[in-house]
Amino acid sequence: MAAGVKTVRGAAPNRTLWKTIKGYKALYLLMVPGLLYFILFRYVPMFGLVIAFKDYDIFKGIWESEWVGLQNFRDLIDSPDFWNVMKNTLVISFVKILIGFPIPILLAILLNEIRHVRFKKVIQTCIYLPHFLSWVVISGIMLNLFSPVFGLAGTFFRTFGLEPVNIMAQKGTIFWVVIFSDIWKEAGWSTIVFLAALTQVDMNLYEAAKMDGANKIQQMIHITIPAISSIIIVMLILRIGKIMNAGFEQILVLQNPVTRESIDIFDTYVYREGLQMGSYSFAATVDTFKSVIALILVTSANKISKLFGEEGLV
Amino acid sequence: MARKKKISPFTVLNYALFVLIGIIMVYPFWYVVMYSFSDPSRSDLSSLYLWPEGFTLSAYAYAFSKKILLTGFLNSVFLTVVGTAVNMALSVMLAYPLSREKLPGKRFFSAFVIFPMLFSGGMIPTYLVIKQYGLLDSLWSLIGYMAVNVYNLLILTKFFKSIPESLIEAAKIDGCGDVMTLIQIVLPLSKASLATIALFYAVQHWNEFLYSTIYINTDSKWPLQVVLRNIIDMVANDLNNSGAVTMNPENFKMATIVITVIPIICVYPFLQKYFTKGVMMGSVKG
Repeated sequence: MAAGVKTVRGAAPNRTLWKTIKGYKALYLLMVPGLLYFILFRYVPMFGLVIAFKDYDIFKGIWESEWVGLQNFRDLIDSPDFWNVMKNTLVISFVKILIGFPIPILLAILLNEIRHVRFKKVIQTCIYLPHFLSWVVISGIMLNLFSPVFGLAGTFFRTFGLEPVNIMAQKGTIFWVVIFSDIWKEAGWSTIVFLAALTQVDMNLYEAAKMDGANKIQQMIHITIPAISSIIIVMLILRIGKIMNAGFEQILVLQNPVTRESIDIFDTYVYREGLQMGSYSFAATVDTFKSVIALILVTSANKISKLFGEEGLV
Repeated sequence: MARKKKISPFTVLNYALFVLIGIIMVYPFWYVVMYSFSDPSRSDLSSLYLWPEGFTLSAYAYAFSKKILLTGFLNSVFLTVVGTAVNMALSVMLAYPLSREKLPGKRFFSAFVIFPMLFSGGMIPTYLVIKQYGLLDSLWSLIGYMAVNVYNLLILTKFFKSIPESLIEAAKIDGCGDVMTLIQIVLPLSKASLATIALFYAVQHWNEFLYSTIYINTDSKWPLQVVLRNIIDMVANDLNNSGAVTMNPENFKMATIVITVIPIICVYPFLQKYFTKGVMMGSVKG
């Protein structure tokens, strides 16, 4: 309640404050179940992170297990797997941003040029749809489509007289499957923010540009893009803030024993080491490392985006 | 005037591009639907392009004869209905007080619900904690863990804030308590937003896969997504063994995908009506 005291203006005597709080009793009571949820499912696990500094023993539980200091962190640095997942997480995220970030902007600008309202609606319906499907469903579709035996990919290869390959089961190609399936799923959905920003652009600017003989491309470069540049920058910063999350669910369902090493990321590694192999402490150490870096990145991203005069996501 | 009627090459290209993109986005679903209805006995299904090869419901009949698919469907319905009800109750009860500017301690409570967005205990400690609560291998672990989505909570808070203070004050003067004001004034005014948030929550529950694989071990308790995942895997193994299965596994798989997706397709028109608004109500200013 200490913070509550601060928000009351002036040096009101304690009794008045107590009275104010009592006046809001019903509202505080309303919050209780929700706050309980946050404590039980969000805050208690944060304290559970202490197992990163312990040797977790299933029989002793989180609090009774023995302290081992920084031993887990030393193991982490010595583990070649750790450096591999670190590299994969960063590279996958980076390429997803590099290719996947500009596409929705371009799509939004081009979609904004379409004057036929019905056509536009139909296209929007089509491109938003994949966002609402789970990765399990999408992986099921992909496994069939890209199968060299019964999928369309097989037909495609044979038509061009090539040896059919399964791009989802090969080390060299799975990376691009991850990148482009993510773009396929989310590019349409991501246009929404940019489309909304585009509706704010002053139409008179385009009229003036037309008078001066600017063509469509010139109008885009000199009017449209500068007009939405602040939202572009903010979205980019926020996206970079989430670079430690390279797509847990997607990669979990797309990887197989052959392709695992080339697309293994922090989350899939923690899942396997901790929950499947039972090395709880080591896995939690990897997770702690990831969470701390993510915390730094996200908070900096929000600070920076506020500098651009936009509210961050939090 | 006449020049305006002329269709520029840019416009033609632009329309063509979007027709192509539309096809790329939708064709995979059509392909799955087509595959699921095709006659499994025709060995050469790799020549499917636009229309099913033959027509049969046998893949669906086979799918519905599988007990695990039925229990999976029911589990998912349970999770979606009960989960969304819990989501809405907790979110409204939290969002409304947080939307009251004058609430003493409001900044503390806001920070309290936002911090978990920035930092979390992570997979392992959460798993161990849920295990200690005795919720492991129960659908309640999912309902509990997913009870509030911070992002949805913030959208709802923002919306409640936009309700004119004068309305709420007027209700107070008429002798309405805070809870009555919420039920009689605020909620009826927020139907569209509540529908948006409820749909977001429902889709999230229906599509949920990660936590179900982590927290649920018994196959009779699996939600549909986990069942589907296992059908996809199992089928792959069966294929390696031999052709001894009576049903063409690929047709069965495609029929299961269609069954999993149909509820989403059913709510999609409603979703689409609301989600643009929902997204824009979120913190990103347009």
